[in-house]
Amino acid sequence: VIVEVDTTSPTPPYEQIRTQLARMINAGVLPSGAQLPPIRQLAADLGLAANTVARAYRELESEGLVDSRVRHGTTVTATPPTLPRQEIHRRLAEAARTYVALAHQLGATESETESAVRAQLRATAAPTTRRS
Amino acid sequence: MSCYIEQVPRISFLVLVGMAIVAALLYWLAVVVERAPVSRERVEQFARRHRLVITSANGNQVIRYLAVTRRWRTSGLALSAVAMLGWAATAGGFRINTLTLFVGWFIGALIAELRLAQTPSGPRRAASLTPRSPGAYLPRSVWALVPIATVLSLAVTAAGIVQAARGRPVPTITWLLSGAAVAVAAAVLALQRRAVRRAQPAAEPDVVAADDAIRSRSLHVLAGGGLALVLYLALGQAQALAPAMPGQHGQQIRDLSAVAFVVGSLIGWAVASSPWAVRRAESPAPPVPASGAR
Repeated sequence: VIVEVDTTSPTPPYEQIRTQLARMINAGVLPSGAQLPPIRQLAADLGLAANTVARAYRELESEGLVDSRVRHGTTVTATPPTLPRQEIHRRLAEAARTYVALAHQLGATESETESAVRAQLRATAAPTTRRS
Repeated sequence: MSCYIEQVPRISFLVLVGMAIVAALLYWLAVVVERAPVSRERVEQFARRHRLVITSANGNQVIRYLAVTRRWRTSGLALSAVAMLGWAATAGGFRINTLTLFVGWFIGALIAELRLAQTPSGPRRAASLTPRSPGAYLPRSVWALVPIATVLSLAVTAAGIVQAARGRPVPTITWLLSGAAVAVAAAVLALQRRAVRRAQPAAEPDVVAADDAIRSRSLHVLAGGGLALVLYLALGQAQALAPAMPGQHGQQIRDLSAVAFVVGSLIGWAVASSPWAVRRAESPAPPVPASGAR
């Protein structure tokens, strides 16, 4: 599970982090009790200031999505997934449309387009597959 | 900690020239070692220690780590050897001081760790949400070694304070070594925390595995080297304090210090070179089902 930040985007980095984490929590990708990385770790990995990540975590806490405790870190609170499967499928189709349009613009073949998705899925699944 | 090879009453011109040649040779040797390619055996040894599979994607990553650490550690060692020769030239006697050599090597190791830290650049950046726990990279028991050695140093300092309060002369070097031990321990612990937190690429599994292995090796070297150095300083304190101790305690401290010096060196070396398979923390959640991709 990864989070991405585009520093050229007009959306501030803390808002990008907050949006992605909130989406993952609401979709149940980050289940209740899941431990989020420490602020300094995520800030270092993204090359951002610790305050930026701290602000994203604070916003999530004020929304009741995560709980931060000293020496325990930040964990996802007991929030059931609120997105129905139909909505998830709709959003995926939308994202896929954008991706395929980009692939056509770049002149990528169908197999190249598919293999890029598979490679990304493998990379995202890395920590789980490496342990097994 | 040191042994006299030869005691010369006055340094002659020829001896000075000889020392300069030796220093130049040491420098040349360091440059040769630094620039030599990293051998296949070194890479394989690294892979064995961390049960890492070397691939075309992570091979250069491991080689770069081995090259950077070797360059700085060798430079530190060579510079300390040259400094030792320089000191010998001014002090009028040549001696091999293993502590000086070790300090030089260790300072080089610390600088290498600082040089390894890379800040992500570029407009698009990605990070894994898997927390990195210190226990994944270094056994919990090993994390405690440097603090334990520091407590030992502080205990010797306390003994020195007690002796000073009783009116016995305590050499100033005791306090200096105590301060040095605390400073070294603080630097090592800060660098260890930094090593755990330094940026990790959100990349292919083999690249992340190599990054984990590198992080683990850094922590092992810092723990082993830091333990040995703090112990040496604590033992130096104890030896400096020995004459101020009453009765037979002084001799007992000297004997014990000599044994502890050897044991501490062996433990430090064992920690620094011990194998360890990184245990990744659980991912915050299973990945999104990939059924649609099939």
